[in-house]
Amino acid sequence: MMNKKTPPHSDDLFEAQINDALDKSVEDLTPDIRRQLNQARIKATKKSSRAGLFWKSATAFSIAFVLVITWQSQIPQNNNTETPFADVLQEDLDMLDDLEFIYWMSEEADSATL
Amino acid sequence: MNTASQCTPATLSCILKDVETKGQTLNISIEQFLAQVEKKAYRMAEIATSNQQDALDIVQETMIKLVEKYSNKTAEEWKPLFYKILQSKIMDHFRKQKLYRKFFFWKNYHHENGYQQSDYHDNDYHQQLNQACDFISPERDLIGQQNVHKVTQALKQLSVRQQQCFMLRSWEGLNVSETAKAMNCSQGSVKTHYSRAKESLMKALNDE
Repeated sequence: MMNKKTPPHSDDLFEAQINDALDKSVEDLTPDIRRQLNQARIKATKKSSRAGLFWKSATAFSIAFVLVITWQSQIPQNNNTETPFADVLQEDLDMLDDLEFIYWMSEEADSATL
Repeated sequence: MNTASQCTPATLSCILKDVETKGQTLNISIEQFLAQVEKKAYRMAEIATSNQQDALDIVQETMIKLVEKYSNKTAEEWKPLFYKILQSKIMDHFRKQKLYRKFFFWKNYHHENGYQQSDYHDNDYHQQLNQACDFISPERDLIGQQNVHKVTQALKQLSVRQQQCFMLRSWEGLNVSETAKAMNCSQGSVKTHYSRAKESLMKALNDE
């Protein structure tokens, strides 16, 4: 690819000189550029901590919400099981009382006809 | 690769600096890492775009993305990830510019954003020369500043891929594999870009 073969040592020296010039160009950055880079870095890291706080709060809220819903759904089940059973019992007792009366009426009717 | 007997003092000091730098990245926070790389990243973006404000925007977006997506990664992983994001943002900048010029071909992209590209070049050079005048030995430092200007101008003459590849490989010290990942290309392409960049730079700097 390269027509001229340069010795490796001069290649390294050449690259070192370019890198030195680039290092110097970074050292000589103006105070304004340095300040803006500083601000950019602070903004980037602040944004991250704010985003992290948001997600932590959202997760905590979601967990609390699920716990409340689960707790509320458990409470009514105990009341519901008692009520229908009590109603059935009461209904049975009423029915039994009526049946006894009806039986007694039928016996009285039979004895009267006899 | 150089054997121990062929290592020059310059090469050895570069190796030691590299080891020291890698050791330093192991136990630092993401903010400290960003403070280490921000100036070099700015210079890379500025050489690519030839525009201070664009370069600052690119570096800021890179920092935000690294912190948002990859702050949970280990410190060793941050460097290649950072440069991968930086390269991606630089390419996005050029795509946006191309699209802008396609639809608004009568407008100058930088002029519309409030600054002239040609003005920037002169301002940067004069600024560097003015800074050089503050030093005790102005003549010596003026030569240094002129060398800096020559090198940055020579880099700006390269294609974006070649200049970024050269800076990542040579200046930042990434190996071929890391550079390929950062630039989202094959290792063969990295080697090609790098050797062509070196050849062009040698020609440009030796001709002056």
